[in-house]
Amino acid sequence: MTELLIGIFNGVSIGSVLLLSALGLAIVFGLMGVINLAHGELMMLGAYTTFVVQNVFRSFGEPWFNLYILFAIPIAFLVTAAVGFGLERGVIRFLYGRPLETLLATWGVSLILQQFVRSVNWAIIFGVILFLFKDVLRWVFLKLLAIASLDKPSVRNWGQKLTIPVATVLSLGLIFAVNATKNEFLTKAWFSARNVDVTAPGWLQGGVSFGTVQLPYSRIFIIVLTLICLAGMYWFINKSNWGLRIRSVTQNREMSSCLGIPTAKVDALTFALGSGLAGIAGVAITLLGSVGPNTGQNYIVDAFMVVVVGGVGNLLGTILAALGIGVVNYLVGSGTFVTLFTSMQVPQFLLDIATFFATTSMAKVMSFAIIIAFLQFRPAGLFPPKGRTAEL
Amino acid sequence: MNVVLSRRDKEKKSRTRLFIEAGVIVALMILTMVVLPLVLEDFRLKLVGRFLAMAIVALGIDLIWGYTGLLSLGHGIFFALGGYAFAMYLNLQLPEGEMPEFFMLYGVEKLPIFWEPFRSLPFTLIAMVVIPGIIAGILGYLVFRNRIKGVYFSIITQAALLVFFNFFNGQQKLINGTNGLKTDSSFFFGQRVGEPSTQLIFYEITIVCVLLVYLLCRWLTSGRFGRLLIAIRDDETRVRFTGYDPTWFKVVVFAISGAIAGISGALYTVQSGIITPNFMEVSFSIEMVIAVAVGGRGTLSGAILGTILVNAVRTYLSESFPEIWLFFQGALFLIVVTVLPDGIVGWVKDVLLVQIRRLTGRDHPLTYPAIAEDPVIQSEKEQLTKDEV
Amino acid sequence: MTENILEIKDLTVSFDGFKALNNLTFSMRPGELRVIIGPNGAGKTTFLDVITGKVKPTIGKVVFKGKTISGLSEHTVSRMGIGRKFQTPRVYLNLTVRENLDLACNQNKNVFSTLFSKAKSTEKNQTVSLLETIGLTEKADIQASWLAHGEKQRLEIGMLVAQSPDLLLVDEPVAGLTDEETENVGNLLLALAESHSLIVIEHDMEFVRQIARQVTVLHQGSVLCEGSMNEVQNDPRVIEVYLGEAPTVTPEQMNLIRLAASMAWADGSFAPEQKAVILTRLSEQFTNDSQHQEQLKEELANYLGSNVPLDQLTAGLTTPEEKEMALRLSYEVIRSNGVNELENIVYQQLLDLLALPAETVQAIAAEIDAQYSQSHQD
Repeated sequence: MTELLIGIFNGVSIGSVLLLSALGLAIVFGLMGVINLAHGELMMLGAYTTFVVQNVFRSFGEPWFNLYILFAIPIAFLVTAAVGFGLERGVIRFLYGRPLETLLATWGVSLILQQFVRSVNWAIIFGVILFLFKDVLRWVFLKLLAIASLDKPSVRNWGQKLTIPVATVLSLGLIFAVNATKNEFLTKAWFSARNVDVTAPGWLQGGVSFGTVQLPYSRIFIIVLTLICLAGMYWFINKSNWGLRIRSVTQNREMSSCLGIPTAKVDALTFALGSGLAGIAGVAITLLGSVGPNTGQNYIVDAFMVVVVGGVGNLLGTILAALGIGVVNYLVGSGTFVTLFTSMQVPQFLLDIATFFATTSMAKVMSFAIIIAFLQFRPAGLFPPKGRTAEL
Repeated sequence: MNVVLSRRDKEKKSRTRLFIEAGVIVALMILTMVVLPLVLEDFRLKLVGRFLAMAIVALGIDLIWGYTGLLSLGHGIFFALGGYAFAMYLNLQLPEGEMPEFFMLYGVEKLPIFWEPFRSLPFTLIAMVVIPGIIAGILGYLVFRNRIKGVYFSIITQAALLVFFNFFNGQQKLINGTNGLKTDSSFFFGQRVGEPSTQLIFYEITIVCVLLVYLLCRWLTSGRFGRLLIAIRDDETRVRFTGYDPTWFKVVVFAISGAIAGISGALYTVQSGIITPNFMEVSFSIEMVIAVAVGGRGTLSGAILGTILVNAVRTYLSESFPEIWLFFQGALFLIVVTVLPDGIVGWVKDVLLVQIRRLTGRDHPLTYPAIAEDPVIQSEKEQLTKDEV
Repeated sequence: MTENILEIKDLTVSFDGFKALNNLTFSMRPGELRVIIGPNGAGKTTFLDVITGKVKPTIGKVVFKGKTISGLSEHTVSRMGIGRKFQTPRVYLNLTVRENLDLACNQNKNVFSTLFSKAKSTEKNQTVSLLETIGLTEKADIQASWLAHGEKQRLEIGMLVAQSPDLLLVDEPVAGLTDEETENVGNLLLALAESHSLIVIEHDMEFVRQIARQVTVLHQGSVLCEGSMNEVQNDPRVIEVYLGEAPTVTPEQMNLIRLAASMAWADGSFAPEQKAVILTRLSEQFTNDSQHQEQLKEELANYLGSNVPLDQLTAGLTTPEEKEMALRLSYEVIRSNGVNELENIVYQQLLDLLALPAETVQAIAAEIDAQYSQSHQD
């Protein structure tokens, strides 16, 4: 029996990572109907932020190093929220109402982010900064033209049109130029292409013991972190002013807009919030193992399944779905059923089936089959949106 | 002057178009089947052959996405199934009683039962089309019958892809797991598959397949069936209330699309010398989709053109600047989606041709017939021409 | 054929406890044109949803041509001969007008026959004649996305007809149309009613009056009442539903009010004098209590807004006394602010419709004239 309880505990802890990563996705999907394929990469950015914070705090020495993870959480949140904000303003807002295109665009972003952490160095940072300040450049350029009394509407128009291409070319030029200097400091990639390891602070190593079994502190920490995030989200969505706005836009975008709710701001804010949650999830995954540029990919599909099973825009559905998928994945994959069945002396074929699926990858096969079967009964998820307007 | 063309004019025009299309196809066939093998070195030719094999799956994706509006991110499944089917056949071309070598590594004594039928070529040829088709049909049925569509469909296909990836990765004893199946050293009708001469045959077969699949898709999309696919994309509810059951149409299209992917996978596998579960990586399937988008979805020529173009650029960039390739690819996704939603072919049709017509003075502005025929406007027009004279 | 084309008995549809349709009973004869009205949330659209199979009934069943259709999917219901038009036009925007119709014309809608069979010549002819009926022949080969709103409405109706259904369900066909287009659509529907059974849901009362023969009023998911437009309009329960309070007047009295109102509207304007006359006379007539008269005046003022064709109203007058009373009131109304040309024409119509003896008419006219000349001299 303890086997099963331990299995469930581990499943819940996996489920809570899933929940952390799916939470942001679910909010964004519920509000804007946008599937963000770069969500996994935002988690990865969060994990890398944790890595950087850890290194900085290590140089401070004890006792600071022990506390780095508490600082890493808000920092990762802010970093990924900022990236998410930029993503929404720069790309996604142009694609509303075209969900499939958004899907592809965010995939493109995820590729860029993956390569970014592989090759980021000062040269690339300079290039990005230059690109971000493109509007300032245009302003300066037009001022100069105005001094030369060449400031005509047609010139302005071209300035508008050409800003992005010109800024891109300039930024790329800058990157190549700096890289060409072969300056060790400027051109060395920040992170190695291999995975990076984050050391958990001392107080998260070890665990509580119950008789023969041990529950690792790090997993308990993740569960607690998830609970805090959930409570925070619940408060924000249900009690705060912006939460009210988010809910109203989720239910009826046109009407909210007519009532003076700044829907564009709400979109950007929600997207940033969802991305920030991905960042926190990123902090959590550093406790589970090493992280690399591709880490995000491992979580993204499972997180989507959580959203599909949970139903759109329902916090409770998301929670149940995440925990359910986490527990099933773990119990099947870890072979808990095999030991259980052996001790219970069930028929041989059941044992064979359990053994067949008793690896991490085969557990995914199993849980997908269960999800598809589940969707046959509840196509719109655990808690489908109610009423007659649901499908039109 | 006539805006509304008479029926005869229309027929004439469409016949001319058909002739042009046939001419272009024949020219391209000669170019690829005869000229390229003479000009290119073996290695490059093999690359072209692989691109063309990819063009086949692109046609399938165009059918389901461009025409029917369902974005599948799981075509890698069907592609790989076709590839595995053919690779299994090739791996079994051994002297009587022998088994493929890798089985020894895992201590497998007896050939797994599902391998047996793949000793026969006819069975394999049918299986590499039918198995992916059936799997696609079943998956499609389970999803479409519950009216799951849009992004839900996309992410479910993606999850299915991941599941198949995991399954093939995990089954060493059945299908050699991560290592996949090699084909180059196998024999096909007594010829070593890796030999340039054998490869040339597969190259020519690929081109014929591209043509056949193109014609199939052309036939599917031109008649009532094709218009119904567009109707499903435009307004599925209306289709339902008109008395059609969209579920079965979607299942059939998805199955056909999957079967096409199977052919493509088999041809690709034999020309790249190996099939591994990596063919079912998430990114590979999305790349197939974006290639169609680059060319222009909803147009068959766009699917082929886009695939060849994207793969050529990919080969060049990942050979010369491996670091830049991912940046470039990411940018490609963004650019295609935001700036070129109709792809290259759409851009040529809507922008370039119009500009050229305008420049050459052969501009026929497309007006609303009601406006053109409005007596007030016609009299104004006459007035204007009189004034000019 | 005495069998009803559509028969619904004790039908209930509930969404999570909320009953959108509640014990609804409804039946319709073949060839009938039925208009369904009702305030917002009355369950009109759910009613169509449940017939077409979009929503499954919680209790009860729908019988169409003797067969139970509730529980079948939309396309099966559609193939059995029920066509539905949506509120906003739903056509295939990326296909041409002709292709839109062709898809609807297709007799055999299986996957494989759609794939392998070509359009038959009968179907092609049907498409051509339909194009003419809906007036889109000129635009047959342009994409539907180029059509104007009204043209899309007509195209969608054409697509419905192409399915050759026995029963057509039309949801608010004139919402957002100009007056001219409204009339076009109205005529199209009337033409269709000659060969099909029709259920039309509509809010626009002017339009309902143009096309309606038989009206059903839905309220809170059940049928409130059924009858001709006039009967329905005078039904106290309907007035209560629309105005929020029950009328204290009888349907006959209501008829009289409407008649007076229509006379007052005859010249296109409703003068305050006319209103005063109507309210005073009628409230005096309906009750003797002066306090009650004041209340009644307020209530009656609510009913003056509509301008109903006279023939519908006079049909409700049966006895000579009622007719005389109506005539007296009508004449006084138009007399009160001076008779003008238009009012005179309508008045003549009224006389024709009432068909009272000439002496009576003259006597009444003289009496009222005398009354007015007297008051002017004072």
